[in-house]
Amino acid sequence: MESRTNIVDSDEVVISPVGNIDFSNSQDLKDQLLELFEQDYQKVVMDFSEVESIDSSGLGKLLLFHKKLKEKEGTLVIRNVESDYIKNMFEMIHLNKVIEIED
Amino acid sequence: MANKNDEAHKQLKRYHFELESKKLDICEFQAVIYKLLPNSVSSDIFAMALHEIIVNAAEHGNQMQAEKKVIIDLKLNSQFIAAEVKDQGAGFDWQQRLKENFDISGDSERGRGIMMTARGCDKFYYNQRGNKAYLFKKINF
Repeated sequence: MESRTNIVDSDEVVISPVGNIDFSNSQDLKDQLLELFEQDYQKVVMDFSEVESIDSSGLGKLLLFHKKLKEKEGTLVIRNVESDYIKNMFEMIHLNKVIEIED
Repeated sequence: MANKNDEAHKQLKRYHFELESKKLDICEFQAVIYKLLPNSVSSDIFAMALHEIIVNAAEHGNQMQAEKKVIIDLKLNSQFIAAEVKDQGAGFDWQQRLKENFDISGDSERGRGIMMTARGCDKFYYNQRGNKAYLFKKINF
């Protein structure tokens, strides 16, 4: 799947996926996140401004990555959720109780 | 009241789909469903739930064997959306799965779809064998 990565500084990186994160491409996202994990960023921001939908397969990758980051005292932040579809889903599962979602 | 129900029944639209168990076909089908449903929060949640159950049918039911089909029957009117999703697999113990607690932050990378569906639909169950799912949701605008 397409995504852009902007390095803020040695501790922080922003990854911006584009389109749908689903069963067909969530493995690509996992690989991209694991690559960032190996580069030891303390803060990883996922910019959702161009994400249209995400399913439980995509969500599983985010939660796994969140857990791995937390184990080394890093943080995952989700920012700029524009899609109502995604907002409804995150609300339904109370994702904000697990992963920090910026308004 | 009877008249209102008759009217709703007349408006009932039915759709039938057969998908091959291929990742891309399954995922692109989300856009097809999304266009059919009225614009409402209930529809979004139903579309999400239906996608999860179709993925489960292809992956766990049909074991991603492309020649095995996922068969979807959709019914909708101005009051509700209902779907049946059938796969060609052996089925599973769905009642046991639904008894498990919904823990979004659990360790597993997978397995949230069925719980999200249970949470998002007004009615959600399988046939005895566990290879045909029924989903129902009222539409609230």
